[in-house]
Amino acid sequence: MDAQLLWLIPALPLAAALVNGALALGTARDAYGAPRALVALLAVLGPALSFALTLALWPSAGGPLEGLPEVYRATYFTWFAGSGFALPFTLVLDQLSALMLLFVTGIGALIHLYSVGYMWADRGFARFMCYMNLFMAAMIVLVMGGSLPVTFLGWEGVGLCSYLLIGFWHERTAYADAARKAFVYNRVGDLGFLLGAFALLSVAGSLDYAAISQWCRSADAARLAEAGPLLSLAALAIFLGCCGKSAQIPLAAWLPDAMAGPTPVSALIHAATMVTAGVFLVARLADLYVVAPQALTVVLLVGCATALWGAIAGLVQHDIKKALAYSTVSQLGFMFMAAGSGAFSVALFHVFTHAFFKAALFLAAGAVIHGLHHEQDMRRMGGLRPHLPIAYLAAFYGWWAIVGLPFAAGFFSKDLILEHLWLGHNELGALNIAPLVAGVALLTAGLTAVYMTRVMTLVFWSPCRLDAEARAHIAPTPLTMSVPLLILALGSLVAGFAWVGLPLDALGIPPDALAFIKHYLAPVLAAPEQRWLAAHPHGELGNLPWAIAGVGTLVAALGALIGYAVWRQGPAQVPSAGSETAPSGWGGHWTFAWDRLAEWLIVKPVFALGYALYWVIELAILGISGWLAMQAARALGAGYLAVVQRARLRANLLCAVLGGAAFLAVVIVFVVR
Amino acid sequence: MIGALTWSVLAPLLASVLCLLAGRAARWVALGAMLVPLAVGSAALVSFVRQPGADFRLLESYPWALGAAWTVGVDGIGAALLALTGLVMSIATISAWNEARRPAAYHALVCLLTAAVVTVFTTLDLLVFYIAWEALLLPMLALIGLWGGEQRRYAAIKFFLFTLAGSILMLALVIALWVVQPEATRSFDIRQLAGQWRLWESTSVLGVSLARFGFVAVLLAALVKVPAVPLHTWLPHAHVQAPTAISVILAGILLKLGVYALYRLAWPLFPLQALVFDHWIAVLGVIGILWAAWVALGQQDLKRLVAYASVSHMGFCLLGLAGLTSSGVTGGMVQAITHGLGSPLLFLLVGVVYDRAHHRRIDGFGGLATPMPRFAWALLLASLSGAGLPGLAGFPGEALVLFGSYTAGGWWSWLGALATLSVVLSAAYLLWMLKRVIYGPLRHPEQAAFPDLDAREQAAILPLLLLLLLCGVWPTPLVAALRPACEALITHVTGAP
Repeated sequence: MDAQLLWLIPALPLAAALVNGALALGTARDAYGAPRALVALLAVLGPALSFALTLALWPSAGGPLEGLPEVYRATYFTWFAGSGFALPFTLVLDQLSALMLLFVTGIGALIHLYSVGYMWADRGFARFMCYMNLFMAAMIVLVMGGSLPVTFLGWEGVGLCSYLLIGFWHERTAYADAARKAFVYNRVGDLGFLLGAFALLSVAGSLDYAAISQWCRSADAARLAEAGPLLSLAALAIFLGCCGKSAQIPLAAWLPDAMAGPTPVSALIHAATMVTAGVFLVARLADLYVVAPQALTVVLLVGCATALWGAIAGLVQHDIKKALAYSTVSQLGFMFMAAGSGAFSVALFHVFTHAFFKAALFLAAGAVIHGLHHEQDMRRMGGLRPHLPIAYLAAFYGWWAIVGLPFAAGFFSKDLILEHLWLGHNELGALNIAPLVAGVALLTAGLTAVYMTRVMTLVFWSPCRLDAEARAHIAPTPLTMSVPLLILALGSLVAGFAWVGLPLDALGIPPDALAFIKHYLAPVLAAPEQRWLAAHPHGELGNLPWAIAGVGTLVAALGALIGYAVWRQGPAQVPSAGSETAPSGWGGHWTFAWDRLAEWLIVKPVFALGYALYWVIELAILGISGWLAMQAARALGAGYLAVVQRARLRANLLCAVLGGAAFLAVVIVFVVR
Repeated sequence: MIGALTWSVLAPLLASVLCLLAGRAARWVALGAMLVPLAVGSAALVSFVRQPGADFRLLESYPWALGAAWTVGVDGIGAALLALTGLVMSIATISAWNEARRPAAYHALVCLLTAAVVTVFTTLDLLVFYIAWEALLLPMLALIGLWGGEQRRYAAIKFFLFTLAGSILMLALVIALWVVQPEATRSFDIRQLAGQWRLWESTSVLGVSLARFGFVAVLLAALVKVPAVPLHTWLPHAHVQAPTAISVILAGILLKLGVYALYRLAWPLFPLQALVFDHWIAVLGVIGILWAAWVALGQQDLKRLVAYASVSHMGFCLLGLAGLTSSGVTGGMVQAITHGLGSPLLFLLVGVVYDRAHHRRIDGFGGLATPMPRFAWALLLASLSGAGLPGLAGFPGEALVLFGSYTAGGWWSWLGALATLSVVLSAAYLLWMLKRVIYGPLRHPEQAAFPDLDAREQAAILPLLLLLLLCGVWPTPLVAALRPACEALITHVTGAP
């Protein structure tokens, strides 16, 4: 395969988006909308072909034994350029972007298939599919970008699609509000992204990832010390961008609101792919972060705080999608904790496993919501296991994985994170905070088990709270939705073995054959990770992995037991249909803490300043200058102004045309001469 | 033989007389005349894209009296602005296609305005520049004052006096520059004047050097037109009172005159002064970017919001030019051109809803995406371009300017960082507007019957929309055409000390 084919990976979904967009626009007035079968075929084919192409181009594992890694890199054109400043449109398929592409296109294609069933009856089917395809194209550009500007193009593209899809049912005010909130929060992050990129440019002299890495790797201590403050600033500013995209404190509050979008959107964009872009970017710039240790400590602390906050907020939600959204926020915190402790490949491993189990959980939730005709309040569910067996199966394996019980996907990734935190070394002042963070992470893992078990219990395991009629009308899960659910359920179960491998010696398969992630990212990430380890040596390993796995399992099991025991009878009261699902009391205060903080510290002051500037200063200046102008006009009085004031058109025009004609005459005279 | 650029002036000028005779057919005459500068400008721009250069092309020169001459020619900057003028004027004509109040007079005045604007953008003679610069105020005054809204006279006079007061010193400058030149070689040729900048530096008028006086004179005239905060207060009023087509011209063309005067006169003629004042001008630019964006957050009137957005975006032109880096100066000009595509589009769209609802209160709309999907799409794209989304025209100019500021180092970096705040502010005010105008439920039931864009509206909007996409996705040709002229300017200025 040729590296020049790289462009096809984003171009295929883009083409599908363009065709579907044209179909949607062309049939906007048509009662039936665009031909659905055609739209669906194109929409699924685009990402599916990208997935196939990713596999076909798959870069070999490389690693120290196999010589240089095989990396595809192609520059197609210069987007635009100033002198000393060019934005070449470079796409890269190295091990890091290949791993991201694997689940972005793979799970993306599955969720597109699921959407066909989920959105089939919606009036805006073609428009929806157009946005989804556009999102895939943008996400692929984000992942494959060879430099910060190309990534930024995708970064803004996914933000736009997120905005369009959250507000897909834009007739609802709350949904339109949620869309705007998501975009503006992301824009605050983008401010950080841009400032960080520019700061980085002034240090490293390039925005190309390879050049930045090269600079960070080759800079000696003196240069690093000199550039230290600016490097830290750049790393922190870019991390602000990651906080926006990946919903970390203080920019976390948009993600739960984003659940206003259709459920496949929540699964694809707000769980599996887009929100992990922040983690991806930190890993992509790993060489930068390991030379800015203070920034990496901030990443660790922010991840830790967000994980805990999200887990507690997830505990008090009544809306099934909100509960999963806070869970996503919390899990993203885990990923940042891993990155913050210098274990970038572990962070990406958790991104990978999380993509499977969270997509499974969201799609299962979607099947439940579909089955119950848009009911999202878990207090009004219960006992759905026999009614929605496929959804239950996917949710069950998703639950198994996220809770971290042995051998599902989340068990391995969570265990690795805890291990790295426990052994890690991040200084805050003179204190090594990594073990403290490990303690919080363990607590959060326990809380995760509690809130996820609560969700499972309220939806599937507690007594059914649907009345007889509602129970009789539960919609079955269509085939297009069942297939992705089953595949993702399987993925949730086995994705973890992509790191640890399976003992299949008996079958003649080497033990590491399946464990492709463990070494796969080494060509990209081994250098920064080893540099970090050299500067921040880990403690002794000994028997620790087993101990951590044991403690982690115990805590998870305990959490699950608590979750089941407390909620196995269902909620104390079953609210009526359409009642408020937002938590109240201390749960509400906790959940909306960051909303209110942002509201009072930023939104209100910014708008108040805008009003003040306008109504006080601007209007005063306007008034005074206007008054002066009118006085001057009166003083001048006669002539042209008076003509205008009396609106004597003919005289006015005569003036103007005569003036013009005189001008013309002058020109012509001299041209002829 | 009369050359292409002279025809670009003559065609609208002749058309203005023809319009008065043509009666109802005036709009066809006007549209036909606008296509001449559009065609000539586009051809010139293509030539600069294919063979980039800092030279002047399509040169013509016919001597006149007093050392002045009808000398016309365009470099990359002039070519781009000429094409933009033709485009925006054509679109404004289409948008006023059904003007019912004295259509012949209306189109005649727009043609006259076009002739004057084209003269400014193409002439290389200071005297002709000044005459055209002042002459274009008269048709503009009449267009706002006679075809505007309720407070049209007040707005028109305010516009007129502000811009006239700003440029009154320029007349003194023109005379002074003529007087101090040696009698034998007296000339108003801007290229020749730029070579004689040492002369103004060494001549003193009332205790200051002529150069300082001249720089301030041009600066003042230009900053009123750009407009820079705090000289911008005429603009929101003029926009609110002006009819849609005139707002389109104001935003698309008239504001560019200010930027052009800085690029063509202030910096080349007074390079040392430019280096003295550049910090202040950059600060003014950043204040404008932030101030206007912040004020836009507090607006209730759709048109006033777009007007303040316009002021905010024009601040980038000042910041870019003042920094004197290749990226910054080029970016400032790119921003001027792309703003000339995006801002008129927004004003056209405001006009679309105004024609239907007869008001412009933002809270008087809601949920228009349902009855008017095409309108909603266009407004979404125009707003996102205004918010600087990559892939749309608003991005390359701002990115280049910001990049230029950062690479200039020192406190320029801090100015750039401050200006970057606009990515949040512009998203906030534009998305807030979108949410209240096109999203949410239909708040006013009668608006359910609003028809979507009709053929005439689409004819005006579609070209701008396509160019918005083109300049966003593929800005390289535009940048390549502008860059040599901008770099020549930098060489001239930085080589002066």
